[in-house]
Amino acid sequence: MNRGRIAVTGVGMITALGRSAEETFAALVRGDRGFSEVSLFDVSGQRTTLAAEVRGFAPRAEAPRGFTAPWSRSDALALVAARDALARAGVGSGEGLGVTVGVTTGGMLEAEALLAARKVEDLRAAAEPLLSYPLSSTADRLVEALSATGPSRTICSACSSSANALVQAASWLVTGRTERVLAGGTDALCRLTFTGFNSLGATDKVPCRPFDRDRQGLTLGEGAAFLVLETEEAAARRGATVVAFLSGWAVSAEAHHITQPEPSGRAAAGTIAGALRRAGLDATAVDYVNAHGTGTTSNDTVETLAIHAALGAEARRVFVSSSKGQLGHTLGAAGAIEAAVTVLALSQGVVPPTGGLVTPDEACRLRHVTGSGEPSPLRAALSSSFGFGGTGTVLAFERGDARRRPTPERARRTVVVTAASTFGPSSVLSGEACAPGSTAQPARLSWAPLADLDPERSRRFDSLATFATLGARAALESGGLGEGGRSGVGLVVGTAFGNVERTAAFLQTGAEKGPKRVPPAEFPHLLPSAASGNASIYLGLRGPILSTCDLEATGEAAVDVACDWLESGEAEALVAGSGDPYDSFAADLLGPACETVSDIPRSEGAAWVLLESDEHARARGADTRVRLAQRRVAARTSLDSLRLEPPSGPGRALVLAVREPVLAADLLRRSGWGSAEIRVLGPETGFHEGVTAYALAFARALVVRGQATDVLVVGWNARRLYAFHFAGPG
Amino acid sequence: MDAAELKRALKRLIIEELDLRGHTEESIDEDAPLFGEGLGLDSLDALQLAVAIEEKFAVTIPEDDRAKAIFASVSAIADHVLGARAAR
Repeated sequence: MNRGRIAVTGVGMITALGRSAEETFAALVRGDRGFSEVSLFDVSGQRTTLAAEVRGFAPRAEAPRGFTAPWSRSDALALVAARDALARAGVGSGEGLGVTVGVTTGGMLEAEALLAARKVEDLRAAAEPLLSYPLSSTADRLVEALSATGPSRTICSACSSSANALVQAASWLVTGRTERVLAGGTDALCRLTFTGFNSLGATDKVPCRPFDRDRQGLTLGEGAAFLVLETEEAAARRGATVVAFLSGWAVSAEAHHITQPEPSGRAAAGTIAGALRRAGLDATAVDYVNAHGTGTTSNDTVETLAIHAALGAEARRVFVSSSKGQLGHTLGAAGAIEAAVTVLALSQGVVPPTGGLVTPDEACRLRHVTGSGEPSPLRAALSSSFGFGGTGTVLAFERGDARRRPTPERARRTVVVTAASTFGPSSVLSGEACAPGSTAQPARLSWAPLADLDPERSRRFDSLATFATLGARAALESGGLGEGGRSGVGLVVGTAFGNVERTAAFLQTGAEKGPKRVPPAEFPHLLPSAASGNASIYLGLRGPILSTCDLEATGEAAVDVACDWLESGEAEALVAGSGDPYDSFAADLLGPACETVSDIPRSEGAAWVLLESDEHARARGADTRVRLAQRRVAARTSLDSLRLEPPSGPGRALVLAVREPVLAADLLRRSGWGSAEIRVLGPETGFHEGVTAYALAFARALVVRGQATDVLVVGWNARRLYAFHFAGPG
Repeated sequence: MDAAELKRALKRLIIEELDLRGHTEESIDEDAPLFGEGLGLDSLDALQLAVAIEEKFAVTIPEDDRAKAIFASVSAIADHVLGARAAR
């Protein structure tokens, strides 16, 4: 699968400093700063009233012609940046174009006023916007607006979300799932994050000053950025100019604390070193680091330690700057915005400065650039992102005229399903015991999962964090990865809506009692990636930790992401699945509004699979009897083009689905699955957004028990159909 | 509310606000350090506790280093609350 390097052929941005990447970068180099009083919502009584807001921006005016669907500010920012990137890259068609979007709050700005009100009639009104702006909405809107026909995916990992959206894109390019991806992120300012960061005392009262002696915290911002990433081969074929290469990347977790970085910087240093290793670069080739540099005391100090640890003596030579002193911390968008800045720094040969930095802190001894940009020919540059929950991603870029180095051929790796767990009627089941039933009647678990966790280490866990921790632990233990052996494992958690009830309560407190009365410690647990972060800290998982969603196909989405990352070599072992606590809000309002669920009662539950590269599993002597034989994802409008391989042999083939797979009947017939028995699990599992994870865990159990040799799990939502084929030794 | 009653109320507040599910009023030593050692609480807990105490007991917890002394133990918090009330 050697398709050459990953080329960046265009970058696009919209930020407080400009409506395009060019405009933004020119302003950065001039030393402009984008901070002003927030005008989007009432910020009176907050610790600071400043943010890097995109002024004079009317989301509705950016909607595509004839587009009547609800449209959030985050969607509009994303589309502007996406169009900028595509125009720069000279890509005029969405044919085969993949889309990845990193986001933390998405359409929260539009939904939160209603959530805060919390009266029944207002809740009913909120259901529509909430359903209109689930986390996956921006990716769906972009796909629609750009007529993109490639794969699409939403990634949330707090402040490294969109850096991971680029890694997700890279994994598709490496394995050949597509050859061109629009990858980036978006986040509009909203009350939830504004109040949350202020309540944590994490904001500076004046515009933020990364690395400065007097820095007091971050200043929030908003915006979006996208990069057009394509295989070198595809770029050459259409004669595109290569602006830069995405040469390497690394993703890891600290497993330390929900908000605080691991103080030695060792974990972050390991991530930087990992990106260089994957790029085949050493520190002497790096000329610039675009730091995460939030302006908080702890981040900047720890990041300095990490840069020195990873780059050694070269750290004295390498330029370091943070764009957050000019653009603010744009959360889910930051990774992509800063990747775009890094690419432009390389291609234009200018290091942008750190806005607000006057007197560098003794604890932040680095080669800073202050005031305005510093012209310098740059060969390779890094962009770092670190987030709540201990997520960390480092991207390594090289200039577009960089010489090609011999790199080892990478083969697409086989994925094996080495363990699974499901939440059963009275406990977590694992291995052969995995069953498709949680609770269907009654709709709630009859046991208290939280009681199975250590109370001191599971403080403030919500149900999803509990489901993820307990379920992942059961899968790992069943797979032979006890406490000593799981530090390299990662976790992909599917969650469609996040914690609606607790988010509403937080917003309601802010609205009724003022922003200084919200419970600060609650805020980090309200981000969609909180469950994966909490579980990774509890279990000591230091591999990639992510959240993803795709409405009623959220379980499928999580497993799909995990398979991508394993096949392309981003991880060796990942627990993936989904959990949905019973939420009266979701049940009463969202449930009936979601497509096709009315015939199955809403339930709660969670199910997980442990996926590993075949290599990794064999090396540790794991149970490799069940392998992922094939996996397909297709838009429902193009099911005819879906090529599904038949069962692997003459054994017993089975099709599992939560609902009768009527829409796949044709597909099954023409691909050799027509005679397989179909088992519909909905009556046993009930319905929730991640429910297909049960089918996947149960599929493995059936193969291990010898009750089937081939199991095809089919799941879908209004837009996409997923098919996962697990096969036994035959 | 006398000092003993206040300390009991503070303990209940700490257990609830900081989600100390394994603890009871009896298991929290009123003179033991709350942060670092002792209950093993961190800066996030301190923020949460400050908001809760300000709300429930209508006193101000300063943002600077003085907060450290106030949060030294349950007894220290009680002293601060009683002191603030007496000053009113």
